[in-house]
Amino acid sequence: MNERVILLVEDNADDEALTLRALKKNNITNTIVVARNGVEALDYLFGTGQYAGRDTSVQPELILLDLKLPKVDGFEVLKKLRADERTKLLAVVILTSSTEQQDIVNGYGLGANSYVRKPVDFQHFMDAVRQLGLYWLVLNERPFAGLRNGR
Amino acid sequence: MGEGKLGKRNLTDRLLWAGLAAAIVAAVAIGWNADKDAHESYAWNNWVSHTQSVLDALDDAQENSLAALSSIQNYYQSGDLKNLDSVSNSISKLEHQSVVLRSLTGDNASQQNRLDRIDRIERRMTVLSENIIRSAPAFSQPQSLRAPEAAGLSTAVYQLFVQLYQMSAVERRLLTERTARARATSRQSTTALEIGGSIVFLWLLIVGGYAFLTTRRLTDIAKALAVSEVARVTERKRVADDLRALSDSERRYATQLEVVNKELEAFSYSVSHDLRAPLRSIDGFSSALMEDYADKLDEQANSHLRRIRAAAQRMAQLIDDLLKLAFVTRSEMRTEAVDLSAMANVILAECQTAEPLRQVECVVQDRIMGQGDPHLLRLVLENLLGNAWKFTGKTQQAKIEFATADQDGQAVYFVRDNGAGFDMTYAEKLFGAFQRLHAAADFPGVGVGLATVQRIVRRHGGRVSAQAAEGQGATFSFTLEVNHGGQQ
Repeated sequence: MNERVILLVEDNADDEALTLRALKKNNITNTIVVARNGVEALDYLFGTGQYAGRDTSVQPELILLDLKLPKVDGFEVLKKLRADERTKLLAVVILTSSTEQQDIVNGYGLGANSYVRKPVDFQHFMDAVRQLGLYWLVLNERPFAGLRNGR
Repeated sequence: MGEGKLGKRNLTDRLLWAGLAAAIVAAVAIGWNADKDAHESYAWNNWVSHTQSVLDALDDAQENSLAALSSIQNYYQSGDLKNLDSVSNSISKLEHQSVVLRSLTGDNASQQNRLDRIDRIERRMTVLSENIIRSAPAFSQPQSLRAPEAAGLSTAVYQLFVQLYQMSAVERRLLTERTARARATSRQSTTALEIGGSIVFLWLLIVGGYAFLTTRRLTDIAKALAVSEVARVTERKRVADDLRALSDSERRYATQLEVVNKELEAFSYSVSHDLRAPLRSIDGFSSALMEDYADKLDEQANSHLRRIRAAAQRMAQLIDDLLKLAFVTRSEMRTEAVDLSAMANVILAECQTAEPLRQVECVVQDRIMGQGDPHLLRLVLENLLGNAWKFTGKTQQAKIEFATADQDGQAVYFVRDNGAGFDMTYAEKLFGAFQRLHAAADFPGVGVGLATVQRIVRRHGGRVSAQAAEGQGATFSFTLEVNHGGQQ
């Protein structure tokens, strides 16, 4: 396992299983941390609640964020993490069922890096995950990457 | 001499008497006339208050349908069956209100027709909510299972609301018309009294020698004038009140419609999210089964799984199309001159790119312009030309034509093809959502294209119709009437 973390924020157990499957099938070997609602996601990012004491200088390489979540929804998570120095530069891909214009506009407005609709056809979903992995984990240059590698 | 004097006095007498008689005749005539006008004005005023009470009843019904809608939303959100009791409660109130409306609008056939539709929708709502209550197993089933039920009910309420809205649109038009008539007749009667009164008054001055005889007349006329002045002031105030009430209700309806649209928007959002999630599971896990257990599954098992996956994907397509159809009805419209010929050429070129091997003769008349929303009109042409393209797929020497013709001073646009056509017996089914006249295996599609076309054309105030024969092609024609006072 690769210690660079992907944070998957997803409340639907089926979607979680399918996303994990798609990541595995595409040979994406990063550690996957799953948060099942917005509160869990924020706890992980800021080292609070069940993640109290976590080293928050280590942050996920990529956040796959669902929008409709119990307790605190995806937009709220996005807003909070963009407002915090520790997390404001993280790569966030909204991965959701909705293609409502309002959601897409809100998502980008709050600083999402990408917006992807989960396709129903699993082959298409596999394809989307493969491309996301390739782009965000390989091609794309992130800030701090050199810093972390040197550590 | 004496005789002469006598003759002269007789003459004056006669003149004066004649003058008085004329004044009386004139007064009677004017009075009668004014009375007739007053009666008419009274009748129109009755119509105005009648229309007002119809509008009040419609108002109550609309409020009830909104209440039903929010109960359905609550049920959808919480799963609490108590909300369905409130829905039933709203439905029974609505049923009562349609009885009232039916008797109030007995004179208006088109309103009665709408009430027939409303009755049908109310019956459907009762059946739907009873079904939910009967089949709901326990308090908390997953929200996604409630979505289709709640969607069915909300759609019914929305249809109901639209019918009520159309009814009130008609009544509001009647109210404006009747208020104007009431005002006009009341003005007529006052003017008649005023002018007539002045003439009579002059006459009476002329026959002033017989003042003692005419005093009573004068007083009567003065009284009549005073009464008419009071009536006129009252009438003016009443008309002003009516108009104010009218604009108040107009505003209220607009707000209500906005609320309903907002609710629907939120609802289609949930539907799109919640209904797709289980489909992803069905498709994803079927696919996992096929991959992980390939060695244990025989061809039969694989074929079943393929069918399951195809069905899930098809349902996802249906949901998307339904949402698109909803978008067509609720998106905002802007009206401008649109070059339909250019649009048609682009669409046909796209069809050709998608199927480069097909040879279709496309004839598009030059510079066909139409007034309407460019985005929506493109959907109309995409669907009609796309259908023509699709249904000529098995035709030798396929030909598709887009042209316009003048019919009674109105532009009629038509798309004609020489493809599969259809039996005109089923023509009325053609424009319903999810209606298909061909097997999906012959020509693919889910059957919302023409429903979309009809909705858009109707929103533009136009009509759409079809002419065809099986195996001999089809012609679809439509009109756009945005600029000629059509509904928007």
